[in-house]
Order: sequence, then structure tokens, then C-alpha cells
Amino acid sequence: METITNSLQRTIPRQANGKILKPYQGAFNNLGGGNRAAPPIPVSRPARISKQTKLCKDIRETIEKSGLKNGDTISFHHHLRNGDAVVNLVMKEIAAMGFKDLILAPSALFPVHQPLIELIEKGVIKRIEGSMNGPIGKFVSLGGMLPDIPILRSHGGRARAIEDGDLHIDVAFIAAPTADDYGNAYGSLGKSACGPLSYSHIDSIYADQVVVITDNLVDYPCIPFSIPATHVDWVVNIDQIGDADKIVSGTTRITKSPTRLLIAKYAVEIIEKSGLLKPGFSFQTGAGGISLAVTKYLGELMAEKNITASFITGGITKYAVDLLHQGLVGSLFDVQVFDTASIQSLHEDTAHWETPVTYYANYHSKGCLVVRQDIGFLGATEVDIDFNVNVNTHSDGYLLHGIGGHLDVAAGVNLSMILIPSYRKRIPVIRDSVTTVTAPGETIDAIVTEQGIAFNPSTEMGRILNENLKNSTLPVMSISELKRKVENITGIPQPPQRSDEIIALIEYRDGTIIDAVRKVIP
Amino acid sequence: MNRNITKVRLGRSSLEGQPEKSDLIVEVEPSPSLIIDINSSVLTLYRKHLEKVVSEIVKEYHFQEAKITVNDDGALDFTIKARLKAALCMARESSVQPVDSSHPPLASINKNIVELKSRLRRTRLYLPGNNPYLMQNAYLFGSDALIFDLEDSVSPSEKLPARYLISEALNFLPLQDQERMVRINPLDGEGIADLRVVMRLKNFDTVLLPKCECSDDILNADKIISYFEREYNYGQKQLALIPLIETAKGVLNAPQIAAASKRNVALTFGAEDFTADMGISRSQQGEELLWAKGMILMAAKANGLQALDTVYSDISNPQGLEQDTITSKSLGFDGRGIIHPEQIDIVHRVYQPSPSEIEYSQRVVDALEKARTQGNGVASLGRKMIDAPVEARALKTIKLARKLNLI
Repeated sequence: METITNSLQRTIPRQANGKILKPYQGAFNNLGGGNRAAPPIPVSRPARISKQTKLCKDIRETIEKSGLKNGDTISFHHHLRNGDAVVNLVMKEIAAMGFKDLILAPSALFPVHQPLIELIEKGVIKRIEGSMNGPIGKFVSLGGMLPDIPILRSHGGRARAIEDGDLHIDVAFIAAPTADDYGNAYGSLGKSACGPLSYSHIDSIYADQVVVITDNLVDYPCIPFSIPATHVDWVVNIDQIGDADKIVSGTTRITKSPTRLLIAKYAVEIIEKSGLLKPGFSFQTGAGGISLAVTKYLGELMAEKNITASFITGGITKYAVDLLHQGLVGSLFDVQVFDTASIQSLHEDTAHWETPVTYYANYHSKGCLVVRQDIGFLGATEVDIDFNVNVNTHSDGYLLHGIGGHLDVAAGVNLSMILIPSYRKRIPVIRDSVTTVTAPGETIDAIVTEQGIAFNPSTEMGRILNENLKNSTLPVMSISELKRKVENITGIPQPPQRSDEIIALIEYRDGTIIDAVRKVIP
Repeated sequence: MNRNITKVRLGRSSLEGQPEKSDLIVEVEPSPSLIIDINSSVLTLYRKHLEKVVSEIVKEYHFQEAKITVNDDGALDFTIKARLKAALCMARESSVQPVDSSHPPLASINKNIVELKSRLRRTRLYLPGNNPYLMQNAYLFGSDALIFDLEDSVSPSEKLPARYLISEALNFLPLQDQERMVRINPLDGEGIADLRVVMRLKNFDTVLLPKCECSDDILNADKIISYFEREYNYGQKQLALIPLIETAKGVLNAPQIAAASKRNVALTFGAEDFTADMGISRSQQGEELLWAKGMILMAAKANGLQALDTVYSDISNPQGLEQDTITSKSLGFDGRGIIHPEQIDIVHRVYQPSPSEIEYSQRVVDALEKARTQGNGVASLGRKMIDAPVEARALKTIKLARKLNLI
């Protein structure tokens, strides 16, 4: 295989899946240009002209009517998370109908989707584009090869790929907790309520055929709606689109780990002294334990200092909703929710807004939301002394996690912080060079661990923070010092054995290839 | 070497027999030749390292005819060493030298006990002695002292492994200016065996002695500590002692307990055992404890010791902890026991030095500096001479005030 090196000195293939690849050349060097893709032109005929209805009797009929062919690309969203039944139901039907060589383009996959492994082995699926986490990631890591090389993208990167025409979707299957027979679909009502349908909004615009799958068919019109009927070709009502207990949790709980709480306290102190904590500031939240704790502590600090934020983006949980209801934040941009309190808020509160993913994070747009955010706190599996961040693979090489909005947020915000325990089990998170680069170091300002805090000397914000905080009570040190300090506790791991065989590509949000993931030798 | 090896299995495990997070299970059994079998969740990245650590200890203990199985879940080196050492010790019966209890108690104190007498002890974080996961990061949360506990938080079958774990943890963890305390078991129980193991590596400061009821309890402890200090060549280093008073009898004898040893640096109160001994229950306001607390406070202060209050056991009630600590401080206690890191900041806020305390300390330091530049050996403030403990305490207050960004 012919390879080239990108600007981070990562070796990537020259081409994959019949296309010449663009190597990563810096976070903001791809300037767009060209034209966007466009979906086919549909027509909207009144009932007196056409008796055809969108409502099908079962999933098989929607597949038949969509005109699906071998080799087509099909897409799904992951708002139902590990409670999702739709991906497995649709794929089982597609396999039973004898289709082959499909390209699967989900916004993410979960452990519940393990049955897909069998379909990869049978040749029903030949490529995955989007996200390959959990059991499927493990299967592929060990050499359970797909004929084509999977391409992994962030949320913003996926929206860009669809809009730019890099990812053409033939049929989008959209699980909808509530819908009418004309295809207006909504996420925050119904027994399988999941909140917004943000990830699938872009699919509904650009896919050739759009199928809405609901388990709560309501009388026309379904108002409010997340996906308009003007985007939808077919509708089907089934028994269960998912398992409500696994779609959202009844309550999201803050971490009880003193170590993680300490990291959250450090993060809030950094925010306090960054100069960014002023009226009208904004931040990104998530559902991770540390992130929830930061949201809570930051809210307490805002209340104490009488500072109101203009908006929160996320990953919305009860903790963000509480800040909205306390008047400490003006509005919530909601890309996904994690608990029932947040779904209720999204449904009832006009200041809590369902945000399409392209609006949220698409680099090839006329200004997406992440670039208006002040602060983002993010996780990682590894970071390195150049501040590159890995969120996809573990240090032993296994590909186990999706990218989510990680690299979009890191690139967009004024202050991006990685909040992580300095080691997991005994594996240190700070390495000389990350196993896989997901987010480039130039977009990361701070690494915050319980053992110490390192600011990136290559970013302006990193230098400002270092200047403001080097004499504070916070344990500020260089990234190399922090690495040594952690290794004194954990010992230095031996490098894992890995083959040269490439099992997936990590695409940066601008469409260039930032790294390639290689097969693990167990 | 051909001594009998008995079968041993130790390390904290789940119901399914798997090791707890950051722990490992070690099994030793007789075998015609030496077999070492290592299984670990981090084997890909640490195979060579684990093999090295394990074989070094097996060699150190001269084991040849045994099968040693390690099942690890990402334990740090101190845990691996402690578990192995404990397992190898248990597998091979060994005779123990009796303790010479006629050894004289400490006659005079050295610099390190002088320094320990004025130590800041607002918070002492209790750590269960057999739990490596809770120990690993405990030093990061900023308590003034860490108590590695061998008594109530350790079940009888875990006492031996816990001793090794504490000993290795104290050697391994990068603790800095925190006071290192070990709470041993009563001396008529496992206390002597505790001291025999934990004193060997000379890596802690203070012994916390539970259930002290009379001056003889303290005198005995002093003698046994003195014996091991000689056995292990402590040289100038001396261990301090903090008697824990937690019975009616102990409260009545508090003055004798306080005066019984030169090693004493503080008296501390244990309310849970005390209320059990009295046959009463502990209330939110704690009036039932006031008399006992008063007695302990008087006994401590009359003997130049610090008085340390009991733990506040409701970790879900930060307001209650704050109120209780305000009362505790106002009574004269210098600090209290802590059972969760989240309690530390609350107690420290209550004990934060006041502006007048800071100002006084500043004047003490200035007076000393002035005296030194003028070549005077002795400094005074007003009509009071500034002695070493006053100086130390003033420096500590200023250091604390700086640390808390108060000056």
C-alpha cells in the first residue's frame, strides 16, 4: 500500500476505497471551495392526483419502496444509544432480503449493535463510515476486516462529509419516538422519547430516500416536529423502536470519585482565572462524570459571583437544565440529552433549543456554534507531549470509542481543556506520542489531571493561562514534568505489538486524514 | 531451603473471585519446582515489568518449591509488592522473636517530636488499611494528616495483608508535608504484630493507639515502640503517639493518659465507641458528648498537647459537618478526623486563620527577624519571649495563610 505522511508525521495511505485521500495539513488550512452536494428534486402531489401514501405496513415494505440496491449507503442516528432497536431490526431485514456490500453510515454505534458483526462476516456490510465503537471496534481491531477501510468522523465532520458530497446517503432510516403518517417526526414525546433528533437532521435533507420509523404514530399533524414531512419519503409504525430504560437514564449522577471531583475543582479554578468567566460567557457540557461535576461547581461559582452565562451547548443533563431554570444561563443548545428531566425541559422550554448537528459543528458552514463557545471540557484516552489527543483507541491499540463532537469543540472554543485522571488501572494517559491522533495539539489548551496541570505553550490561551496561574496554588507544570510524575507512579508501559495493516482512518473535521488505526496483535 | 509451604490466597476480590480494581489476588501453593503464573488486565503493556517485580520478590524471599499465581487488575507496584510479601510470609510459617516489654520508655524527646507537637492537624483522613484503591490518591486531597487504619476498618483476616500494604504504600506514595499516622490495634490484640511490620521501613510519624483507658496502656505502648525503634535502628527518629480515648473509663483517666508518655503529641476523642460504651445514641447537637470532650480538652491542654475531635460520620450532610466543626473549634479542638475527602475543605474553611491570628503571626516573625539581624539569640514580643513552638506555629499560620491566599 502506498503511504504518505501528514503534517503531524502520521503515516496514512495514499488512497482508500477508490478515492485519493487528503492528508491533514493543520486544523484550519482547508479553505472549502467547490460546491455542496444536492439531493434529488422531489415532488409533492395532492391526494386527488396520487393515491400513494407514505405509510408502509412494515420495515420490509419501506426497504422495498426506498429502492435500496446492493452497494448502497444507509444511515442511522444514535439518539436511542444503547437502547436502540432500529439498527438491528432494519439490518436483519436487509440481510434477509439478500442485500450485499452495503455501506453503513451511522452517527455512532453501541454495544447493543453487536449483531452487526455477523452481517460484516456475511458480506452484507462492506464498509462503515462514521463511528465504530464498542464490540464492533474490538472485532475490527483484531482483524475482523471489512472489504473497505472504515472512515471515522466527528459529529461535525459527518455533517460536513454529507454536505460536501463525500458521504452520499442512499437511504436514511430515522428512528422517531413520535411521528405522523406524513413523516413529521419528533423526539421528545412518546414511550421511547430520546430528546432531539439532531444527528439525523442532515441525513433527512441530503439522503435520496428517507424512512421514518416510529412506535408512536400520532394523528397528522405531529407538532412540534424535529424532522419535517417535506424531507420524508416513507413512514412505518412498529411495536418498539427501543428500550426506554437504556435510551436515557432516570437521573444522571455526578461522580463520587474524590479524584475526579478534584480534577473538576482544578478545572473550575482555571476557568475562574482564565479571564473568560464574565457575563455572557458560554460553555460546552457533557454527561461524563467529571464534566457533570464541572457544570455543578461552575454553576455554584456563577451564583456566588452573580455571573450569568449566555448559553450552554451539549450533551444536556439535569445539571445544565438546573442552571437554565435558576436563571444562571440564558439558553441551552441541545444536540443530545441524557436524562428524562432534560427531555421534559427540551419539550417545554423555548430557551432550550434542539440544535441540528451541522449548525452545531460543521466546519464547512458559514459559522457554526462551536466557534462561538468560550470553554469546552473534554475527555481522552491518551494525550501526548505535543498535546495531541486520542479518543478513539486505547494504549493497547484497540479501537473502542467514537469521536463524538470532541475535535469540533476543541477546534472551536477559546479554551479547550482535557480533564482526565492521570492513569487508568495503571496505564498512564500522557505518552510521548499518542497511539492515534483524534484532535491535534494545536486545538488543545490545557491538560488537567489530579497529579498536575499542563498548559500548551503553543497556543495563545495556553500561554496566557500559564502566565496567570504559574504562581497559584494549582499544580501547574510542563507536560513533560507531568508525564514523568505520573510515570513515577505507574511505571513506563512497553509498546504494544501492532501490525502495519490499516483497519480504519480517522478523518479530521475538514475532510483530511489525521491518522490511521492499525490492527492489534493480541 | 526446604520449609513447609501452606496454601495461601489473598488480595481483595469480588464475589466472582476477580481482583478488585487496582488490586491483585496472589495464590501460593506447594509445587515440586518454582512456577510463576501472571495474569493481568494490563499484561499487553506491563508484561515485562510485572515479571520483573514478581520474580525479584520471590527471589528475595528465597522461594523455590512453590506455584505462585498472580491475578492482577492494574495494581500499582506498592500493592503488588505488599500482596506478594504478605502471601509469601503467610505461606511459610516463621517463628517470631518475643517483644522485650521491659524495655524502658522514651526518656527525652528529639527534634522530630518537638516538631510533631506543633503540627497542623485540622484534618486527619482515615484510610481503610487493606484498600489500595482508596490509598492511591489520598495524599492529593490536602488533609493535614493521613491515618492508615489497621483497626476498625480492617477485618481480622485482613490484618496481616493490610500491614504490608500500609508499609509499602508509605514507601511508595509521593507524600510530602502530610503527617503519616498509623492506627494500630490495641496492644492486647494485634497491636504488637502491627508495629512489628509497619515500623520496619521507618516511614511514618505517629502511632494512633485506640481504646486507651489508663496510663499503663500508654506506658506499654511507649515501651514497645521504644523496643522496635532500637530493633530497627531508628537512630534519632522517634515516633509520636496519639492516644484515642473512646470509653467512659478512658475519659475519666484522660489526665493520666495525657501525662503518661513523652511521645504524646495530642489526645483524640472517638465518639462512636464512646456512645456505645455509655449505652446512648449520638445526636445531631452532641450535648451527650460535651462532658467527655471537656475532660479530654482539659487533660490535653494542661499537658501541652493538642486536642483532636472525633469524626463526623454523615458524609451527605456538609452543613451539619460545618456547624459541628464550628462548635468543635470554639471548644478548643485543634482539628478532627475525616472519613471522606469531600469533608476536608469544609473543615479547613472553619479552621482558616482569622485576620488577627495572621497579624499576630506576622509580628512574631518580624520580631524574630529583627532580633536575629541585631544578633540577639532570644526574641520577644511585648513582654512575651518567643520560643521555638511559638515561632513554628507562627510560621505555620503564615504559611497556611499564604496557601489560602489570605496574605
